[in-house]
Amino acid sequence: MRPLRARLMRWLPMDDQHYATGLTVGVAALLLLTSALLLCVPLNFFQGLVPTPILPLCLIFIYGLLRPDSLRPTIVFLVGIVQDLLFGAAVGPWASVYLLAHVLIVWQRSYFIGRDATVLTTGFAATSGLALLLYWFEMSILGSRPMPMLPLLWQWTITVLSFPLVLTLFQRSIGRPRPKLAE
Amino acid sequence: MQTALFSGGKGDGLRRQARPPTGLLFLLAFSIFMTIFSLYGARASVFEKARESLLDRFAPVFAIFSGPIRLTQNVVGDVGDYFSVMDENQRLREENEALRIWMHQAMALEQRVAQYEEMLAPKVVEPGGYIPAQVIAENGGPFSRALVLSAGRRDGIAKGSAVIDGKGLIGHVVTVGNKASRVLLLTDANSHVPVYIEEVDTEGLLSGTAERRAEIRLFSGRLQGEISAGMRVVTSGTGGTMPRGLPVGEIVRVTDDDVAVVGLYSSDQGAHLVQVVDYNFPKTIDDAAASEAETSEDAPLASAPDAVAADG
Repeated sequence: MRPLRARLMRWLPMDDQHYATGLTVGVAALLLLTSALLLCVPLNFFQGLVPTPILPLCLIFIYGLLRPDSLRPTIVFLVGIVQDLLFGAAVGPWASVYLLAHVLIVWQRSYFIGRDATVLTTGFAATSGLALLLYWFEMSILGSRPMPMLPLLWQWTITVLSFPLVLTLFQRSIGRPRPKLAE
Repeated sequence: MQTALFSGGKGDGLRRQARPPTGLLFLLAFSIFMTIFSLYGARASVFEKARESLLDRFAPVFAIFSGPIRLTQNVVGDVGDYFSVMDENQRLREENEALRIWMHQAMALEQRVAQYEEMLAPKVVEPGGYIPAQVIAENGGPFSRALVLSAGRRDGIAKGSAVIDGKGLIGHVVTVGNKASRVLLLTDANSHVPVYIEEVDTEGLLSGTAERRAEIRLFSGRLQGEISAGMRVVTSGTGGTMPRGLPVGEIVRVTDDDVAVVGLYSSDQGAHLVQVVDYNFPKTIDDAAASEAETSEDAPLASAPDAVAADG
């Protein structure tokens, strides 16, 4: 099984010393799917003035930091595709947004280890901002005209503001992060 | 929170980072490719079938999710209503007075229109009925505005059907599953609905902007001065998917580049119950002739459903 493991290590962002069990991978997938489905639920905060935060981005960032081996890129991709199909729009934009966020956090994970919540929130703001900028770019191409930035900025702001709460909940539920990614 | 969330030393700094796995980069590139491919194949049948299938599969999940949320919203709304009950009562009394006057005028006009129709015998296709449906989900993205309804093909909903709430048109059906359907709202950036401005007898295309408003680009070269704020906008019926005359909104202002901004009667937020207009415009000349013959035969008799029931 060693060659298979070595191959998996190349293709999946797994921790070198800790393999995720089927249960933790399943829980991560379920949480991500549920957070994507929540985007489709008519929450209508404050008479619809406040949009639903993009919780999948928060989860991808936090999982990328704390449990990178539990959240597989294929799961991120599939949840993005499901969300695209449920939204009824083009197939691919949300998948690319989530995967870009995942790439960025996996790439910068070692920088964020040991930092305080303010740095993490700033990092999340930058990561989600870049990912949503890709979404704006893709939707502008698909719509053949530049999309308005205001709704996107507003939803990004709400998402960033809700990040510390999600982070705290997550940290309390799973505790310490696993060691860094093998380099 | 100033304490470090993770125990142990700080990270390695920005220079020494783990390279993202090749598989992750491949999936990212593939998803971007799929997005570009969507430019040409977003409405391809394979994607449409996937959308319909997912809609049907997730409809019960949405219903479970939205139930408690609706309940909470109703309770919070009821509590809020207690604080404004007197004002609301006064407003409703005044509105009721105004509506009584309108009702009498409408009844007189209805009588007159019936006489004219008898003289002219116009071939007008009327809606077959209205299908009630509950909103079980909505699109939470920044640019898209869509709803998911609890009724689908088995309830008689067809692609393109108009969807109205108590105030007017809110959008049209774009995806139909067996048990659920998706409605593209008028404010969605991809929504385009043919409309008619009553006072100036002009048709235009109402397009969404993704910013909770819609605007009209006119088909004809009407001068800017002819269209003014307050003019009523209704559906034109062009295209044959929705009937003519469904209330849409009012012109709010006309911009310098001859775009009329429309204030919609309905809201794109908070709709709980809607109605899908069951409207079957004859697709071919043969259909129209058959429909006309059927109408002339059945006209003095009972309506179609009654006739079917009688046959059964």
